[in-house]
Amino acid sequence: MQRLAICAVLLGLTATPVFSAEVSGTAQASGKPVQNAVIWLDAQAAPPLVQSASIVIDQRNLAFAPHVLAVRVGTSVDFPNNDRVFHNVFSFKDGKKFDLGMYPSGVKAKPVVFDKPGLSRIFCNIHPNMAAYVMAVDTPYYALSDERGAFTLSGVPPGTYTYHAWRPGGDTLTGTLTVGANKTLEVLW
Amino acid sequence: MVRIARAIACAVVLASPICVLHGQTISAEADITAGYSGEEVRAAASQLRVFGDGPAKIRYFAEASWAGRWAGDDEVIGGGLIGVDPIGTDVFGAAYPYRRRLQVMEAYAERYFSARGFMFGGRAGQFRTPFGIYTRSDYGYTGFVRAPLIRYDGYFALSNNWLEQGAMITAGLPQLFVEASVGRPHDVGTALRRSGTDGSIRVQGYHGPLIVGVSHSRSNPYMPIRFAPGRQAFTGVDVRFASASGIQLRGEAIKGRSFDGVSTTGWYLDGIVHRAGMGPFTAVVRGESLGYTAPAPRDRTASRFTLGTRVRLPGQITAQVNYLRQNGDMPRIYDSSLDVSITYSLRIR
Repeated sequence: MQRLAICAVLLGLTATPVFSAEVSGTAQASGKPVQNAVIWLDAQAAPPLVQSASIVIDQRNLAFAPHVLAVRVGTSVDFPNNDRVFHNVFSFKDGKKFDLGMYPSGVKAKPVVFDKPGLSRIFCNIHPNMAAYVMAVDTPYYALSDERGAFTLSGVPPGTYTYHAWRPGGDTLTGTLTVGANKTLEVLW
Repeated sequence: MVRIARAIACAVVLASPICVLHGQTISAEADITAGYSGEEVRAAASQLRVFGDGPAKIRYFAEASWAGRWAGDDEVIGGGLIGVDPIGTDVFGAAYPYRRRLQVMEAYAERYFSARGFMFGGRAGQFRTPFGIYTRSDYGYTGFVRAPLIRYDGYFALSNNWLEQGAMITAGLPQLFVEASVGRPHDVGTALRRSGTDGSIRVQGYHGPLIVGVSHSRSNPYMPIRFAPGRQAFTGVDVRFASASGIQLRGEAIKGRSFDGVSTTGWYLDGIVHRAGMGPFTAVVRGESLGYTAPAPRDRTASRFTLGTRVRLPGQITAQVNYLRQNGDMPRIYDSSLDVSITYSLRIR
């Protein structure tokens, strides 16, 4: 028994520690910070999605909020109408195709499950100024840049990854990133 | 055109005296439209809207509009009606007056509460008469260049340019609620109601893809008292249906009187089709009819059929193309017309 305990302690001391890193960085286009850029890493063997919180794109003051949403594939998104007018949310162009029809204020329409990776462009068929983007990614390692262009990918195991970055109106960038203890990633359009 | 719209909208937001604190928002939209009708009418219009969340969760909305139309010397069929724009056709009059004047349209503040699914709230200021399909969004009549016959100035029915100065309350569940307003008319356009007290009530039910409303409104007539005694009263039913396959139906039917001794009935039904694979195109079709019964020879009827499309173009530009055939006694220049308009829309924040 005593030998077993000593072995266990020794194994614990000599085993390679499993840690995860934080990858932080900034997204810029022509030298200016880019808000609402989506950055993600390919991860083939990632743990499955467990959605605990409700994800919402609000419709308020004739706009979608947030303007850009990044979700993991399989995420269910609600589109409540908090305006006093009707809205008609739809996405026909690419990504997830759906049409929620017209619904009035206070109504919670049927949620939309973004079940395939890719970009969905969301519009309202009544208000031409309303537009939003939902980027569905098949990985738990993704982030959205803030107004300073800053983003953080949390809990990334060490390794070499292919990263992607997309922004509204821009191309999707692809590159390779090796994650160690901590890492920075600069995304430049 | 684009630069002007951008400059105006930016100026409004930047010059706004409203202090935007935490939780408060301000947004501005500008629309600029140019159009040409086969009835040989040219049009230009611009609307500017400012809206958002103010303190204590009060929302505000204000809109100003300028629009004008120019026509040739063609003979007008059925002209001479009181309250009708002298240009002799209703083209481009979808939601705003075309009098070449800057007009304040809606300007109100509202506060709504929601608890356990129950909604209650009120609006005060200047707003469109809550009757039928009346919100500004629906007034844009997605894809259509003209207002329905029952919604045009001077057609003995209900004008889109009628505004109330007063208060409105809303109460109920999202599935079934009541809107009621009391105020006095503050109309724009050509058919201006006589001063007095207005009242309207609307009940709306929502179930799945179907939305149904029933409205009743009373006010003073828009014509002089020597010609139009008594009170104006209208009752209407409005219906919206939206299927998940991208087909929408929208329509209204009304019955009532513009003043004592006459009656008006009318309806319109819009079909709006935007299915996957249609890309930027939305197809629209409208059938409509209007009947005005009065002592001979003042009876008038009109009907119209419209087929068209709305196209989303790059750069926040939309184009609307309508072909229509019309007949009856209401003012027009030709029995058929191809109407085209292009709108640039801009939103700041």
